[in-house]
Amino acid sequence: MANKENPTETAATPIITLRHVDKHFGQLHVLNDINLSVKKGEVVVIIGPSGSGKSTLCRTINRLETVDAGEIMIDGVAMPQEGRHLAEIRAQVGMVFQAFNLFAHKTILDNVTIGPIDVLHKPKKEAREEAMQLLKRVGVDQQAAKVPAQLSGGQQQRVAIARALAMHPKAILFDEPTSALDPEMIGEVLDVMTKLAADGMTMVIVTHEMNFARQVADRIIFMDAGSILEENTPEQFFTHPRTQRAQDFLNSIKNH
Amino acid sequence: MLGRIGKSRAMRILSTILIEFTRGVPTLLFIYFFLLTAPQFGLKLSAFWKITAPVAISAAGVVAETLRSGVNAVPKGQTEAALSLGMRDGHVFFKIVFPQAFRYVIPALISELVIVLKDTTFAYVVNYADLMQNSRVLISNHDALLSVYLVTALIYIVINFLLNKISVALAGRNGIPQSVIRQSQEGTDNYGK
Ligand SMILES: Nc1ncnc2c1ncn2[C@@H]1O[C@H](COP(=O)(O)OP(=O)(O)OP(=O)(O)O)[C@@H](O)[C@H]1O
Ligand SMILES: [Mg+2]
Repeated sequence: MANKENPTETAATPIITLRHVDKHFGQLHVLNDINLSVKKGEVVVIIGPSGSGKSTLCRTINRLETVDAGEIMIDGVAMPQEGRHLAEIRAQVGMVFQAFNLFAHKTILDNVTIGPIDVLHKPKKEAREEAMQLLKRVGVDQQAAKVPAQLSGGQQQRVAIARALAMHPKAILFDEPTSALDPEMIGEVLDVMTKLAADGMTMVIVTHEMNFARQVADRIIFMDAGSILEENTPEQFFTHPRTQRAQDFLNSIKNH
Repeated sequence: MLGRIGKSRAMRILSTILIEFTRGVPTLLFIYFFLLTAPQFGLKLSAFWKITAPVAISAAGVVAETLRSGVNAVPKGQTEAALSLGMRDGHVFFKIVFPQAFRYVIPALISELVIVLKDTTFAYVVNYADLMQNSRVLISNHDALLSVYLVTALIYIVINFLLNKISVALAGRNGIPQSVIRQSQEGTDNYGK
């Protein structure tokens, strides 16, 4: 997806916009007046302590979580509450989950083709050919005929990325894509993501992999207790964070 | 079953009542209803339907509950992944959730089929009158009666045995061996490439 379009258009409409987004889980104020805008081709990494609302933020962007107030726009179009139109907009935003969530009853190939066939109404043959290319791109084309349970975690997560790519999304959301992986498999998934970023994919990534974040991010978002406390360049954030909370958080990880 | 997991509150309540009612009331009561009460309201059924209808009704509740438990056993992430691809609710259910739910509950459904089969023995209630008429003949042939029972029992055992065999074959033919289904449910996946 290495198709950077002309820069004036890039500047004009952000791919993802959140304005004054608020959300409660009962008493808990899980998202507190979140404002965020992600430009085309930008890689935004969200960092923060456990329970700070990173996953919830990620999931509100394609409305897997509803919000109490505020506005979410994808490529300039407000996210509707439900129905056909919501599905259409969701199709434009890929999502990669911590637990992979590959369809357990379908083969690897079918996992990648179901979106294009069912949602985009692509001819089966065309969908299969493209799926094979994508599987090759993430290095799991040899496994196409297997079911997810027969693959390693790292392989499954790469299939999940291929499944998202098959929809030609305007952006992909990653919620801790490597947290469920054994250490030796983390690298293979991060490599695929690094390549995607280099190809110009718009990405929002929640991760605890600080080296990866520093290397791949255009911008770091630091969250705590439901609020965005700091937005910064990776260089600045990791060397001279503006907030004490961010400094404490970075120290706490370093000590591990 | 769809009603009970669906979005509409009224539908949910209505199907819950229906399911709990059909599940909670013994089959025999339903049979008496169709046999004795229904004709009073002008509902005249053949002997076949007098046994089929009540057995079907009480089985339907159990089957609905079984399917629902299967649907609930499918991890939420499966639905979320499908939604995030832009699949519509109906497609998510029928292409992603239900096929997996059905695989989980095949064994339970087959056991229910066995129960249904046994329930058909209640047919004797429907033909109660006939049986009374013939009872004198039967009683006078006590030995014969016993062997009739034995033969009948044998037929039921054979049919149920076959049903169980079919259930195992069906589960296998669905592509995914049960052990693999369980594996993927637990989300563990670290066995080799
Ligand atoms: N469905 C839910 N119902 C109630 N509370 C929830 C729900 N989902 C999340 N929460 C709570 O909301 C808060 C934020 O959760 P969230 O998963 O967004 O945090 P996170 O930053 O992703 O944390 P982690 O790093 O552990 O993944 C937590 O306190 C969590 O317990
Ligand atoms: Mg999280």
